[in-house]
Amino acid sequence: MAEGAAMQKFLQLDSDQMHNFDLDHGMSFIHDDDNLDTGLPFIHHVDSDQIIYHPRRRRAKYIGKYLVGDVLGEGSYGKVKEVLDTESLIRRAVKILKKKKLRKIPNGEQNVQREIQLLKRLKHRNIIQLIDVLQNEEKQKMYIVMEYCVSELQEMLDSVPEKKFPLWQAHMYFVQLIEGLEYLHGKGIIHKDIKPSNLLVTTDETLKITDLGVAEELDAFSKDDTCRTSQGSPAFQPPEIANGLETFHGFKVDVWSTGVTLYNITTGLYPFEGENIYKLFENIGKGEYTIPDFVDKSLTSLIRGMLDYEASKRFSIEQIKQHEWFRRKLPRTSEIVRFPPLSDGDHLRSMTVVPFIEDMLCGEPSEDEYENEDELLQFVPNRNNQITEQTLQNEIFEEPVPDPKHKKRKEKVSGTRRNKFNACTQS
Amino acid sequence: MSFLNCGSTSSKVSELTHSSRRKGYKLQEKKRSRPHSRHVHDSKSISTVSTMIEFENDYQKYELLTVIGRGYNDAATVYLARHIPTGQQIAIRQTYLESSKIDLSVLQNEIVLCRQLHHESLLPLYTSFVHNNDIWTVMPLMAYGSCRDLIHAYFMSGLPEQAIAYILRDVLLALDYLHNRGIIHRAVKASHILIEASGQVCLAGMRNAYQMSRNGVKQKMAFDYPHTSKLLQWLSPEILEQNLAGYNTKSDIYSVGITACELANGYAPFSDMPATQMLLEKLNGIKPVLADSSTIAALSAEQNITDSGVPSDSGIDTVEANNSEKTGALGYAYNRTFLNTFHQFVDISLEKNPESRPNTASALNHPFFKHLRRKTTEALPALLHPVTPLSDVHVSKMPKEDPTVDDLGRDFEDLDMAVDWDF
Repeated sequence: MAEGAAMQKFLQLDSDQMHNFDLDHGMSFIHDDDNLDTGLPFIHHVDSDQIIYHPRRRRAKYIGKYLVGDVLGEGSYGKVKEVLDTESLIRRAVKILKKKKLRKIPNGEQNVQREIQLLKRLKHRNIIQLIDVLQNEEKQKMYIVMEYCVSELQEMLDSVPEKKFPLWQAHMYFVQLIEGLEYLHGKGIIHKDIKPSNLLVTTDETLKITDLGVAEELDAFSKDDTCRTSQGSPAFQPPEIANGLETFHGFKVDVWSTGVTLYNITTGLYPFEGENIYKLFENIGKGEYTIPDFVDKSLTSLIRGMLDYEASKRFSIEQIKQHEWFRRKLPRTSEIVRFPPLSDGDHLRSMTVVPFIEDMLCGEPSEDEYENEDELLQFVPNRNNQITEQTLQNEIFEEPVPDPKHKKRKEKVSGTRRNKFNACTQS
Repeated sequence: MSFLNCGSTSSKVSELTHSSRRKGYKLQEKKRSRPHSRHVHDSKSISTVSTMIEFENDYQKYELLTVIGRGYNDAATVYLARHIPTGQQIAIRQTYLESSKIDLSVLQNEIVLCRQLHHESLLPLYTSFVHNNDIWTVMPLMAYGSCRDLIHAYFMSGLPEQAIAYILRDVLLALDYLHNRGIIHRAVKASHILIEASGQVCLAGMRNAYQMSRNGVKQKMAFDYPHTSKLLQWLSPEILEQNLAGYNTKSDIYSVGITACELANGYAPFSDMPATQMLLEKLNGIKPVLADSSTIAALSAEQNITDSGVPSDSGIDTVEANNSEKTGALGYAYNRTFLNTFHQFVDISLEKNPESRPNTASALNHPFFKHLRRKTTEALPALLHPVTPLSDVHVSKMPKEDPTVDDLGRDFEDLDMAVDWDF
């Protein structure tokens, strides 16, 4: 145990130093800390609920009025974290984008801007809803606040050995996917990256199409859906893109990717595979694929229609909706594939923000009451963030809440914090 | 064909709002021509809910007398009005369709639901139609206003215990009716409990209701999060949790428990703290209690801690007012003792585990509701003395020729009761 305590102390010290050297990494250091925790043997003896009620190192932080919880996922652009709107108490997800990282990704910044512009205009049950966009110029970070979803289809597929859904469940998601896609196409938007990892599911099994980062909006005056660029995921690309055609019909690209998705979630397989992207594109370019025997006639005909080599013959959304399989009512015969539990074993996927609220409200009082009160004042979130997009220069409290036991750090952080709070009240 | 009575009408309305951004004034013309075609078909589907009077979907049949309340983020105005053909007094709520603060689908939900429901303790909706840019909703006049109004008007430190028993009994009857139909009310609170001049108690606020059965399939659990943050204090822990466990009709029982405290104490529990702290307390199973001689010692001790330990910033404008109100109520609490059965009812309603809460049927059998008269109307008006309902006298004073509401509003500023319906 003595060793453990020493280790913990070392961790604290270490994070202190990191904090002093590089304020910009406040977020990642917290995370590093977490990872270390799970790797250390002495932690195994501690119950998970004990960890929740001893949130010493899980410090509350805000992005505007949003209290930040655990990481939900990670992409090339940055992390997605769960947040809680402290006014409405609605669970949300925030995509945290670092401009430095974004610049390294081809078209990174452009894609993000386009996604925000598109999402702002969209409102549909099956399209992810944009809630808020916040920026921190100082930190060169952007925060995209969106609806909270419990899981993505890919995560659910990965959680079962057969890597597929029972037919009725796949059907339930597919119907919603088509509804969302029809809405997008009606708005002249081609998603270009439909795949299970871009399809999210809410607590009530509503499917949400997400990630419009590579989507294209047709010009209002364009005669048809001709597109020239594609940045979607290779395995879901149609032959016209695999073959490198100059131009292609955008809507039919989405139909193809949706067809591959349907194939994937009902069979657990991919229609086209390859050791590398060249082999893969070669196979897609040939357009030859087989559908497993266990797939019934009706579904086979729908998949064949959606994966038609000729874009012009490929099903339209309207044809899909008219198709017999789409119109079927499938009984819930087999067990549903559930949302897999989180790493801490939580099957209910409860709020991960709660320990941070505890930290914020019930943190151990320090010996010096005066300073403690002062601190508490500073934790007040900015409550005037009703506008959808705004630039928060100094208002984002992203640093971890200072630990009262560590005087040195507290002084430093609460100094900057005070300035920030002033900036808040002035604006 | 009233508004939202059939699918096509409602879709047209939302279509109009969608296109309004682009088409601008063209829309205005369209709308103006609309009501006429509407009224031609209208007469058939006039509601006769809870009354023999036919309320037409024609704005000319109603005389707006004075504003008696506002609601729905200020997009709705409630008028005291007169049905011209019969002379009956009614209430009309006008909701401005173009308001950015409202969600048409929510309004649609309310109207569609209300017109399917019929229970004496549920606020009926006689009819609704569109005139200019407003939806008019015709309802009975609830002359005592809401229970929140009663608290503001006279019962600052809480309503009489007997009155609360009658009110909650009727609310539970309404909930029993709703729950049997798979509907979760989700918005039980003092401002949604209205009382008619006769003493009839009506539950309003159906805008927030959630139907467990969708497309004929009954769901076991609901997951939808209510659209407004004005309900937070009354929402059950399981609704607030927003996890895969979901919630069901038992969440309304929790809201009844909170409302019981609100009616008895004069303020709703958790009104003195930030929303995040309220969430934490609810998730930790902390139960609010009735403030009386048996609980006051614990309550005051708790409040002292709260006062010194936690910043009193809840983001609610009324925090200070609430605090002073609360201190007053707490002082009063030393001199009163609620029935044990009332304490027990609140305690069991506020169980964190929904399974441990009673359902409406067993709640109605709770000893707290024994020995009540069968008809609330026979007892409640006397219990609410000295508050009197908005009476005819006020209306006869009004210049009937002049329908200008603003002028009338001025005439009515000296009404002895502030009726403030929170829809």
